[in-house]
Amino acid sequence: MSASIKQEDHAILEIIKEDATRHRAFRMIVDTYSERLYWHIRRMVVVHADADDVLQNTFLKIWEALANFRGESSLYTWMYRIATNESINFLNGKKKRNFVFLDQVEHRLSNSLESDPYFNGNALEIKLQQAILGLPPKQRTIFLLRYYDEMKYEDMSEVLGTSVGALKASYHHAYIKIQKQMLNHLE
Amino acid sequence: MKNLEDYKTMKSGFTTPDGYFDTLKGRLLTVPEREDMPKESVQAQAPHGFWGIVRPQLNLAASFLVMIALGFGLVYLVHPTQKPAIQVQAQQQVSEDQSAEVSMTAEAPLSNEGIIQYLSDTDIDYYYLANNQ
Repeated sequence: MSASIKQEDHAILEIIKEDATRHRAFRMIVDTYSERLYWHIRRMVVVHADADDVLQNTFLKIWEALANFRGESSLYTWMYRIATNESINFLNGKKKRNFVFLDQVEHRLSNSLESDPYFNGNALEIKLQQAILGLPPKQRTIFLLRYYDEMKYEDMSEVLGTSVGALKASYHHAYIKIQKQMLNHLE
Repeated sequence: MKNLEDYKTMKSGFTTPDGYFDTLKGRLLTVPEREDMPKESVQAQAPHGFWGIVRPQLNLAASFLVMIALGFGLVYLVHPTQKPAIQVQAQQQVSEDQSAEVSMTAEAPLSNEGIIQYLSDTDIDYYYLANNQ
């Protein structure tokens, strides 16, 4: 977490408790986190329209829970946790609606990647995203948080409720797996 | 690509519609208003007290009664002299029982043609009848 975000979080926490200033706190959260959370959710659910829906739900949950936020974890990890849970719930819902297993959902997402009008990656970028989608769900989340969001393991531990050691091992395995796949693709 | 780190970009091929982030914040800022609106309407419609809970159930029961009454009314309108089906069935059953009793005790004389007609309409074994006359 950067120093500027830490400073912003501190300012938000100061006005979060009062009913009169809660709307202002929410506005600051939207300003600081909306784009960042969009990209995290987008990488989780892949399709833009789905990411937009999940983002709306995430901010709805944030608003609902804002009055009860006790500051036991940092605002940053708390919001990432909500966004991650919403994304996972969305993927699970998709699995139930389509009567498929979660890994099959990822397989379908992988196929939809190429037909998505809001994905203009080249062949290598498609391959990278497909390799990431091939990871088991939890490992994929860990990889995305570390690789793209460059989140510290301590913060990831708060987001996912997993020990730092387990996160490090899981990320390492995911990294090796993807690098291997990418190298195979390039050969 | 020697290392996965070399390939790291923020979006990795993902894009958004033009001006998406320009409107996103505005839409997200309406979330609290949208959240407050349905709550008020639900609260306004929420049942209050015992009468509030019982009333919809009474309404449902009353609507069933009205439908049944309309059904019977319709039968009487179409066939004014016809009795309701259940009553007719019961009466038929009683009259069948009575006619069975009557046939067991009736002493009315029968003509030969009547007997022949009766035998030809039923499965009674003629041979048996002939031997038992």
